Amino acid sequence: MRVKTGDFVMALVLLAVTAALYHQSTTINTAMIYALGPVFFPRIIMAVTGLLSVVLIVQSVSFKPAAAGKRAKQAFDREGFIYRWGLTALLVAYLLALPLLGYAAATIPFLFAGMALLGPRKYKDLAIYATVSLGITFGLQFIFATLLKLFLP
Amino acid sequence: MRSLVLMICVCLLLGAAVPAPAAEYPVKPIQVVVPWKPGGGSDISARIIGDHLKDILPQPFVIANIDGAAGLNGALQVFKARPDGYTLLWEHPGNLAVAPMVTKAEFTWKNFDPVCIAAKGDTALIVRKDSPYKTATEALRAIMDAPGKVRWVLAPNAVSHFTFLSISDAVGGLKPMIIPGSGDKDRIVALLGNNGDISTVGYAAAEPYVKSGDLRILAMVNSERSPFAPDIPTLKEQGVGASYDFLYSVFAPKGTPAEVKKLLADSLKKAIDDPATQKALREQAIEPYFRGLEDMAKLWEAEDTLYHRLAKVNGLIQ
Amino acid sequence: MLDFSQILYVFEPLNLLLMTVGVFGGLIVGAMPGLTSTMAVALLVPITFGMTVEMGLVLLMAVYIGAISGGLVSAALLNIPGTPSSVATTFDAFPMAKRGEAGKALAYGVFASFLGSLLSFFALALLAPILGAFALRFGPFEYFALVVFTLSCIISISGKSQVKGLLSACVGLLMAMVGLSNTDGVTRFTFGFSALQSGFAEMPVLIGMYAISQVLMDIADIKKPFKIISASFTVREFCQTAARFRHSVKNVIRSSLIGIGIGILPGVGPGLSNIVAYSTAKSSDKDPDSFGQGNPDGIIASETANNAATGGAMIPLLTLGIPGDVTTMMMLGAFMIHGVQPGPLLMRDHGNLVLIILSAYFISNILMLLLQVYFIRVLIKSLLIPRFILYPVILGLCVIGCYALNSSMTDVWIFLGTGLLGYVFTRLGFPLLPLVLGLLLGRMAETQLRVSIVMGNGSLAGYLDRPIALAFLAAAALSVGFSLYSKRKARLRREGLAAALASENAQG
Repeated sequence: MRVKTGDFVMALVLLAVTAALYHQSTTINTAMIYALGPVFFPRIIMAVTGLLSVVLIVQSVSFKPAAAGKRAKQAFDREGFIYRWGLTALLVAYLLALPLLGYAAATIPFLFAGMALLGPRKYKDLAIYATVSLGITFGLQFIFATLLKLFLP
Repeated sequence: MRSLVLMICVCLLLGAAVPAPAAEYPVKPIQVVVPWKPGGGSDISARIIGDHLKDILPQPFVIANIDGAAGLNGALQVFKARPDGYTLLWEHPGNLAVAPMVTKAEFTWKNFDPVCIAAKGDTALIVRKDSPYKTATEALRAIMDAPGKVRWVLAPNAVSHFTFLSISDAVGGLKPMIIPGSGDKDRIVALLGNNGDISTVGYAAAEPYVKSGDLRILAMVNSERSPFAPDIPTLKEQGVGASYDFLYSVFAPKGTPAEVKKLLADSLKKAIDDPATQKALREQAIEPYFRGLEDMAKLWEAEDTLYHRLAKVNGLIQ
Repeated sequence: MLDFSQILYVFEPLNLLLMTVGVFGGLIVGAMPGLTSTMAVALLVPITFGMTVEMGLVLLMAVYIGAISGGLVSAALLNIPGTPSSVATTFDAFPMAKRGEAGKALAYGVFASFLGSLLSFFALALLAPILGAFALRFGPFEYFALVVFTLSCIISISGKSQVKGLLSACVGLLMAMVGLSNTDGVTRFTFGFSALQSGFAEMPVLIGMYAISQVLMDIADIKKPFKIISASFTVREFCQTAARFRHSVKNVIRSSLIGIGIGILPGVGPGLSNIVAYSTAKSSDKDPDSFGQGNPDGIIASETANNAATGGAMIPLLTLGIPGDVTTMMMLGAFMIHGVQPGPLLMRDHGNLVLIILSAYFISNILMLLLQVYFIRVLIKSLLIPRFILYPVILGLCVIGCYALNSSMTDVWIFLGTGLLGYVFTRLGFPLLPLVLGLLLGRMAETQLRVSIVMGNGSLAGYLDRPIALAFLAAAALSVGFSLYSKRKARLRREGLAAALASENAQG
């Protein structure tokens, strides 16, 4: 027996979300009932989602014997892993910092750190990153705040 | 070039960081939050008045359209803003009184400081050109005689819904088939396409269709005859005791210093009294209508009581 | 009476300059991932407040055309559609660009955009009143049937697993249910977060889904430069590509008609047209499997349709004063700010203004074509920017773009959250498009279904009297049936081939 773990877990997550949404739908104020009420349509979709999730669970389990050795386990890509989640972490940090530090003070370090994380880190490169970060940040500030009269965070 | 921009930016940053003494208010542009998309009555009234303020105040009004969630998004932004007079809200009672009530938001209009009422908009009760009804009473009688047949287009839980409820309340209960349509344009489209029979919309939005003969106005829903349509009787004149006025009002976050509010109200009054502003507003079928903060609180309170009663009677809130 | 000398107005040097700047600015905004045509127009509307009506509208028209066409660039080069209207463009333009033929992919897109706009211009100029009246006949029944039809297209474009495609659509539909409901004004499924009152806005979800997941997927081979075969894309090469269009006349005409038709309907704009046109082109092609691997007809269908929809969306705006999509809704705002009430009388009272708008639309398209032809070369060069610089900048741009949409951090967090969801989906083989479509259509589907049931006195019987709605439903059933049939046939053919091979091996 073989299980496609990703699909299996995703289907379970979707089932859980559907259940949570269903629970929420019981708490909605339906005092003003307009034609079928505000939970009619969402519940149809929930039912369909639940049904499809179950189908996916069934599909993800296959009882055929595993074709052994056919797919060698992919080598763990350590570099890709660091890049991917490093950048995500930076993005989260950036979003947290944005309302606190303001636009310029948060954007410049984010751009610089992002480039330094992904690219080579020689002095010359770092200098380029710094210039680009500054240029982009203030360029955007100029466009948004000065030309378009928009308030940046 | 870049260094110049950089320097300007640094200066701007420094300028924003230094706290401003109240005496010199305003030292930076004032953000006016219109919680709707550009081009509606709220937005246009704010822009016209804001535009004519530029010779009166040393800093400009900057209109920010923050829309979504029936106007609550923009209100929330102002609710959370610092009460320094640099963030204002431009809203009418139908929304700021109704939306927080029916959605149980964390604030109501009472969590803002009133500044003044700036302008007034009209509402019209409309039908399609080939409708059998000639007067409002005829139409309302027809709805009463055949419950669930006549299609009334309104935005549930929003202004047009409460306008309907107060009309219904005044004649002793109406039971039309309700067709949802949010926004004046949607309601007009529903009528034009024969997917609805009767509705209430802002007069400004209906005017071109009335002139072209596609729609007819049965009555104005204002408290007094509209100067833009002096020949059309109001509902009250036809014996239906219901009315609604769009009172475009200015709010500041709670705790804004009194002298700032006074300065704002005085400047707005000056701008609204200017004949050029009045002409520009009237071209858009908006009436200049300045009222100070005491009058404003009174008018809002009256609307608020009415909506609470209607909501309770119709089971919208407990 | 109409004064045709007004057309000359757009040829005044100042206005030509204004339009060139507008188209150019629109192209840049549209090309940047995270910034969209809706935003460009929304930000410009208040600025036109200080101009004359004519100038303001000419400028907005130019920016609108530029930005819609610019969306092609990030879709083709980065696989990130800038707006819902270029989602289907990524399917074939990006694989083509990946093969190294970025210039060719862009050229197909640019010329298709031009043709789409041109055809819809003629529809706009000649048939506007008739088509506008037709759009009004669409009621709740027709809209709901249209939604069903569009969702049925998911099956034909959702790759290998239909279950995953449908699940993705369901997630999108459920996301559309969050927040203040359209029909009742009741708060739903916010789990107590007041920030979710307004629900999931389309743009942050779309940008997050595609930009973040694309960046995270590609990050592993970040050090490899892009493959570029023809870096110096010449006008000659452009003309050769354009000449290839004579094989796709049917496709161009069909996609334009789809684009115009969907564009006219109030409330649904270019966002749907490209997907419907793409799936139609795919299922009517002799070799549907070549779609998604860099088939020029895929790019042509999508780009023709989305530009045709811009002209379509202008039709109800100019004839009835009803916006056809979000961007034209902003344009409506611009009219009103200038004291021009668009409505049935616009042609009569402001006929000259309509003429000016029409000529601005036409000229902007020509400017767009000219600028793009020379622009392509620069754009290909931009692929030479190392990706470790490009990616942080893209993310930064998207963040600022999402924030600027509504000055709210909520949208930015939605951008991040849906981005991570998009990454997980992509890794597990869930298609992203159905989710985006579900989100775009969810609210409309719900309202129209409920209203149509009310109007049918509590049953679905009302649909039987509505021929247009029935036609859409029939088309939906046919399209699902056909794509299931052709998938099954393809599988049988594959299995037959495998069986034949196996028996050969056994014999040998």
